[in-house]
Amino acid sequence: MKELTKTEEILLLAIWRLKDEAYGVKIRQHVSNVIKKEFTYGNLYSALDQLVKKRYVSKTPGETTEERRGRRKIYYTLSPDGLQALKTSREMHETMWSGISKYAFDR
Amino acid sequence: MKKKNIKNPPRPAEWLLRHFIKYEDNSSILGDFDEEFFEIAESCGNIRANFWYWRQVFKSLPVIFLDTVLWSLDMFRNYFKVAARNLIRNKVYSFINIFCLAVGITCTLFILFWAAHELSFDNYHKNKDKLYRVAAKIQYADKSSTEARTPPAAAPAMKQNFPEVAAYARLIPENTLLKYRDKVFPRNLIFYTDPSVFDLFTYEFVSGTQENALSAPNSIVISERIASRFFGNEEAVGKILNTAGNDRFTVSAVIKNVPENSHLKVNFLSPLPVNERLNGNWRFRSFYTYVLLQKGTDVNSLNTKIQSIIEENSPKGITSISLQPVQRIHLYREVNDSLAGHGDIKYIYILSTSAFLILLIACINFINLSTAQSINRTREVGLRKVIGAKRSDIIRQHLGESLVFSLFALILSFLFVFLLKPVYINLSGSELIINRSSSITIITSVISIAIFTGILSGSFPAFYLSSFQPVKSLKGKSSSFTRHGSKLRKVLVITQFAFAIGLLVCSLAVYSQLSYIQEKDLGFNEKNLITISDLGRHLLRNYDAVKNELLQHPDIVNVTRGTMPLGLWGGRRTTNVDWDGKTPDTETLVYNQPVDTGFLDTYELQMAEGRFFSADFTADTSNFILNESAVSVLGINSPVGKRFSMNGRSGKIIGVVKDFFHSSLREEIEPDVLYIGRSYGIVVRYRIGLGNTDSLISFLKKLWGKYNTSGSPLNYSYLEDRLDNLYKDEHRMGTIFNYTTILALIISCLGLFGLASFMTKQRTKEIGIRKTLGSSIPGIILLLSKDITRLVLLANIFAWPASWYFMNRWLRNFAYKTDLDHAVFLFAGISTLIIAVITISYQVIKAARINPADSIRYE
Repeated sequence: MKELTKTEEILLLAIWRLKDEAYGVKIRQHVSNVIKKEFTYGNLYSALDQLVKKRYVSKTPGETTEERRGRRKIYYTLSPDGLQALKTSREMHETMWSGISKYAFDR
Repeated sequence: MKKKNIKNPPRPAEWLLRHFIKYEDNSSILGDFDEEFFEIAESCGNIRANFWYWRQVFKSLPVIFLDTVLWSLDMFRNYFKVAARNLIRNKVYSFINIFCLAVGITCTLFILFWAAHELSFDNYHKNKDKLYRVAAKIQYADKSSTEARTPPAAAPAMKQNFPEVAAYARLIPENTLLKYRDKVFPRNLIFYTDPSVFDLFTYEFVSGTQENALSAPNSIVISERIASRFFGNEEAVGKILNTAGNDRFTVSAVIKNVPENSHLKVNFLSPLPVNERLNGNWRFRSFYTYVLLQKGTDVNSLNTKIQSIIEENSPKGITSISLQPVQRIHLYREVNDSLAGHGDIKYIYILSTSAFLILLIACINFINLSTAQSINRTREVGLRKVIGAKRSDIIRQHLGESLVFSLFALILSFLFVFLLKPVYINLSGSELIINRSSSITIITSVISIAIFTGILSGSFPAFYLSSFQPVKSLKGKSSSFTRHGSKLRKVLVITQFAFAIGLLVCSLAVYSQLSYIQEKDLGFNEKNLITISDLGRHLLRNYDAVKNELLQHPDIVNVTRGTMPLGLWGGRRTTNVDWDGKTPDTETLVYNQPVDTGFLDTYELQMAEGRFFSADFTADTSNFILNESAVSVLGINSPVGKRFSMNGRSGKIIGVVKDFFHSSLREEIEPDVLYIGRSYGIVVRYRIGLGNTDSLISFLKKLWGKYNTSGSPLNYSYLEDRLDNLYKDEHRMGTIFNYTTILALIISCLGLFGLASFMTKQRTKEIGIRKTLGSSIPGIILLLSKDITRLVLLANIFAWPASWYFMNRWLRNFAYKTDLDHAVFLFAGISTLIIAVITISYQVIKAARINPADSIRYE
């Protein structure tokens, strides 16, 4: 199983964190805040599509609101595979970063 | 409240978004944009929101676009699979289609390359726009002709008197035998010229320099191919070449081979012995004169100005001189020169038209076949629409498929061109790609034609089929629709065949005319004759002595005088004739030729009545001999013995000679009167069986040099060669027409074959029903062939008038021609019919023999 790219990892985590609020606008705003850069819709949706193709994430159609002028939201939720991917990623991260404390960068 | 001030997102940006995103989630993405837009609008105001919206759109577009492309690639994979499956399922049809188009394109490519080559003659010279050849208008009694051979005095006179002439160079060719050590090289064409020739023409030097190349007398400049032929890998400069006589040449330089597209194919250059006498000689019209004009010269006014030279010097026979741009020499026949290898602008037109016709036929074919086949796919289209394909998808699919087909054909045609290149080089005598820029133009235009054909043929299924409602198309082939298409198809077939038949008729006509010419008896024996022209006064004065010396030579059989070599050009004409029994006040134009007693035997003519001139009768010097035409045109009964006078000379008619041609078959045999007189040319007949004529030529040269003190070299040629040259072009045209016709027929028939298979498949059910009702197999064959036959006959009706008109115009060039026989037309029509019937017979017979039970079940 291939590793998650950084963007994918961030997205998956965002979706996990946002739980019921995990749809387009919210995900984008969240990620933009985290990486402190503008994360465009283009990037967002292409990455999301990839994730769906890899079956890490599943789509569910949502409701419509007036602000969206009648267009549906689409909610994203993690699949078991996605969860597993995150777990692997976390393990790898821990292994690589083990022993390096927060203060190692202050020298 | 908030709702009052807030506007909607900017329309244009939204439109962009909508059109570029092809995700299924298209609308929810737009919804996300909307949601955030209104959020920002609420908190920061409309302007900020607009700004954000636009920014988002632009940043997102590239990524989205890329994604769409990747997604389309997936679709393409499916289209490709379907197209490939279609291709394999209808192998025959696909092959025919692609093959025909490829053949058409190949043909066009070859012809266009050839045309580009022909049009590019002499365009490599640096001075090409300032380079002109001097032509002289020669007056021969009534007729005048513009010729390229001029007196050597012309050029220096022009340069001296007109500052517009920057430089000049004269060339005179001579066939010489050359020897190196023990190797002998018989016929070599050496051009004797002024050293300034390099200032006019652009020749590249491989060894030696331009300044020294022609400075020493007896130096010779050779081309690379000669250098390698004569000397192999050794250094050529400095080597000595011997002639058959006692002359020797020293190689002073080697130039690169003169490019293929040159009107003057130079392999040897040697300096002219330039002296006062040469520069003042106005009598020998044997030099090719070229001038280099100053930049910006007004050629028209210069043309008028240079006439003053003629007026001042009054050279014999020359009425005016003119300047011909060197680049026009190859294709335009305005000036006669004796150089081989002329093209003709007419052929460029004819061939380009043929190429266009073939390409047209091939494209029509392609469109026809594709359209017919696509009818079978109505159901597939219906299905696709049901599943969810948009009309634009269907259009894209069919256009794409069609384009792929035509691109296949294009690639195949490139392969053909590559494979057939040697055939082309053989036929045309030149390399394929000469000029880079025009080649690019040609290839681009051919590619665009292929693409255009692909699009055109794909348009029908793409636009027409896709407009159907899925239900209708799924239910079955709509009948109104097939009827529609079939009329168009019929028209296309008729057009194809009309062109093919037209080409066939032209081909046959050209062929029959050519074989007529070949076999036509010229009335004299043109073989084994050498003509020598421009005798000069010394030889004229000493003609008898010269003739005696010539006759001494063992290889020479006969010698005579002849102003113009027979078979090539007319001669003098006059109306000043009178004879016993002439109706007064009638004027008839007759040719007249000064000859001598050896004329009859040298040309191997035949007498119809009376006898020929003979040295035994001194009175013969004032007697006449008429040809048969003269006798009949002038209306003289029993001419022998009658008194006759012409141009102040009176005597008797002592004989009538059988008609012979002294011009090409393009003209009628005219009345001709022979008399003993002086002329400026000698004709020598050498014995049959004399293989190598070199010793004879060198003898002639020695003789020439003995009597001719003006220094100009011997001007001789073989009569046979000059006659052959006359019709060489017609020969080539005939060959090309033949190939064109064959190709056109092949393409048309292949197309017909494909169409036939389609049409018979359409009618399988009908055939099955007819059979059950009792129709026999031959009856069915007849029924099916009837349609096709009718089409071909119609095509004939269209083709005949057009081809008749064109062929008539061409044949008008020839006074002696075959009649445009009805036979030719009938033959063309019937043979195309037979070919068409054979083509479809396979399909028709197969269809007729199907078991009705199977065919009715089919569908």
